[in-house]
Amino acid sequence: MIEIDAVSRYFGDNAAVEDLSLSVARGTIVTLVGTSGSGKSTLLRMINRLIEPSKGSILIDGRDTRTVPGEKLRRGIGYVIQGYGLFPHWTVARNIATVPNLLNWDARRTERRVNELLALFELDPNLHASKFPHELSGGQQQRVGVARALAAEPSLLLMDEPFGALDPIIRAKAQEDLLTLQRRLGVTIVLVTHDMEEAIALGDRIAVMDRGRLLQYASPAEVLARPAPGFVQRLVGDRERPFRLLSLTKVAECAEPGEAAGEPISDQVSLREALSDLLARGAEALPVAAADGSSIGRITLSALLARARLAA
Amino acid sequence: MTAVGERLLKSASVFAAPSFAGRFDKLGVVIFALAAAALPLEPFATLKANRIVSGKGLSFFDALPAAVAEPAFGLLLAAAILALLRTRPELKLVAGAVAIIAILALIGLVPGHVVPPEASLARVAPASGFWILIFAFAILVADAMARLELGPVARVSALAAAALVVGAILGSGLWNGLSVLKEYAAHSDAFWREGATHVELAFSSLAAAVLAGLPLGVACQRSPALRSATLPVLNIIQTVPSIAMYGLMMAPLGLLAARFPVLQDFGVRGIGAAPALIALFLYSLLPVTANVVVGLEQAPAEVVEAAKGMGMTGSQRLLRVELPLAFPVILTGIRVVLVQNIGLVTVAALIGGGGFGELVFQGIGQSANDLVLLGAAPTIALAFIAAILLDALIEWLDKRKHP
Repeated sequence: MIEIDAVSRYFGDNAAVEDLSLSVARGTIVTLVGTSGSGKSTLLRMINRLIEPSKGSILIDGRDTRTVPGEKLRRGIGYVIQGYGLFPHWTVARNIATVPNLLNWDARRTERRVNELLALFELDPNLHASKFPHELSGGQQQRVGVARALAAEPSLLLMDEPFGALDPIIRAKAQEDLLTLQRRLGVTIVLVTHDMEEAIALGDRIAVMDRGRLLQYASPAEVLARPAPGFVQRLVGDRERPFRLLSLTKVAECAEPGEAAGEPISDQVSLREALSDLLARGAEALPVAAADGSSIGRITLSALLARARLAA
Repeated sequence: MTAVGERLLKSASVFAAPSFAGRFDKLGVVIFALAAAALPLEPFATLKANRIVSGKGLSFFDALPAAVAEPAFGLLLAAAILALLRTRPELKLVAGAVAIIAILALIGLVPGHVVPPEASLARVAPASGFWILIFAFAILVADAMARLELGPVARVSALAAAALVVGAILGSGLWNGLSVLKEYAAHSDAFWREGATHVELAFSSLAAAVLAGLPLGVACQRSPALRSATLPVLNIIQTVPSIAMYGLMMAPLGLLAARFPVLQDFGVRGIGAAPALIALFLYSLLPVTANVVVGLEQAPAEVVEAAKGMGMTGSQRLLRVELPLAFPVILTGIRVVLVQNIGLVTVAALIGGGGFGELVFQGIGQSANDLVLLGAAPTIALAFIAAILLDALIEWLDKRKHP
């Protein structure tokens, strides 16, 4: 649980963040979205006190962050940045062991943890542990960056544009992996992005920021359905909004009893993908199948249209 | 295009075709010209009746017995011709190395051929022809090595091989008849003593500069105000000529020692090692400090940010991340300082600092060129060895980081 209470940060006369309050529930993902200069990175960096707030307080699990020395605080919080900042003169294993080493874990425990993380991030310990960062692909570097942040088992992970340097295909996979990982480990994540799509895909809640202020803080569905007038509305984009809305819901929730011809689609894909399928096949309706192959009804074009319109 | 224009183009393309000159290596032409001119025209060695009088130049054929001179002449000419041709660098490297070894060996044969056994004061020294030949073939070797793009290990091995050859020649006594080694025989105590002083001065001033420059560089990188105050001052110090700098050191240190006689027990005096050490230290401070600053600046911003974000303290960040990343650049500064100091120590002899400069200035005073050479040659060799070793180390470190 993070409670950000009336926090401001001034650089000279400029307010990077102004009187901002927001709380993040344990085990959820909050995405901070906004254009550059909106103060989202400043806000993130105030959570681990890389930047000190000028005013206001930040509590993590009920404890004011100012009562803990900065270095000690940061060792307990995972931190991932754009470009990852892997130490180029250290091997992958030593990079991942950074925080455990700072915390003086014994060597055996550190090694066990490093191997565990390598396996978790689909990196073969025998193959990759002794490599140097420049010998890895962009996607592998990104995974090492996240593994390093998680090494000391923090309950909070701060991520600043963690997928910004990845190409779109690898980025989609990395986002999906992050979601899976988060559900599995139950860590709280605060993630900064300038990409609304990414904010919607990852966030349990989205905090939209502009010029240091919080404009809207709500679930993706809420932000899409009722964007705050002005900046948020423009950011959400009217043309894209119906599609984004459809992407939030799974087919399973919209399937209706009945029959339809053709190859069945999975009930786990989003309505957006179902719409795409329907349009591509020129069908009015398609059968829906559960993961085990059993039929659970059909999805119709008119139901999708109703969903998108109703929300818009 | 006009018909005339086309004809002009055609005739131009004739010139562009491989011409006579195009078949030769450009640098090879210079090497060949130097060697081919020096061999018959320049004196290979000088014969002097004694140590101080000016001697008489001996041509290649006069200096060596005919049975040796003729095949040797052929060998050196062949090597020079090889340099001229566009051929594989390996071949050129071998030709250059063989030529240099031959020249080094040949000069050792001269005394036995030209000095009558009863003339014990007579001296034989290498003359302009010898030096030009060595220079020409050294260029050939250096060029071939550059073209082969030898790695650091290969370059250090080549240095070791060269040292082995020179060591073997010295050990075999082949050069004992040469005037430089006669000077050495007369001054061997001074040679090793001054040599030790030389190395000591060069390294201790470097060590002092690193000890002071490292924290100073770190502080300058952290504080722009300190940097803009410090680096220009160090820059100005660099521009003070070495003789003037040694002179400048004398007065304040002399006064200091006169005022506080206890300091004299620690060697602080207007002349001697203390002013030399301080002057060298001041010269060394800029390259070390500036390279520390540049090296630290080069650490990628996101790496420094990550180090902070992981919870490293300022000193952990410096010692574990920033300095290791800056190390190759710092080492480049150390290389500059070491090579520079090995040269500058020579001048320190002027104020009684000791070092090989003692031999050089003594030689100048006695107009004994051989003694000058006895001081200069090891200085050059030291600087050369230091440069090659540190360059190799820097490249090796760099390669490890980004192969």
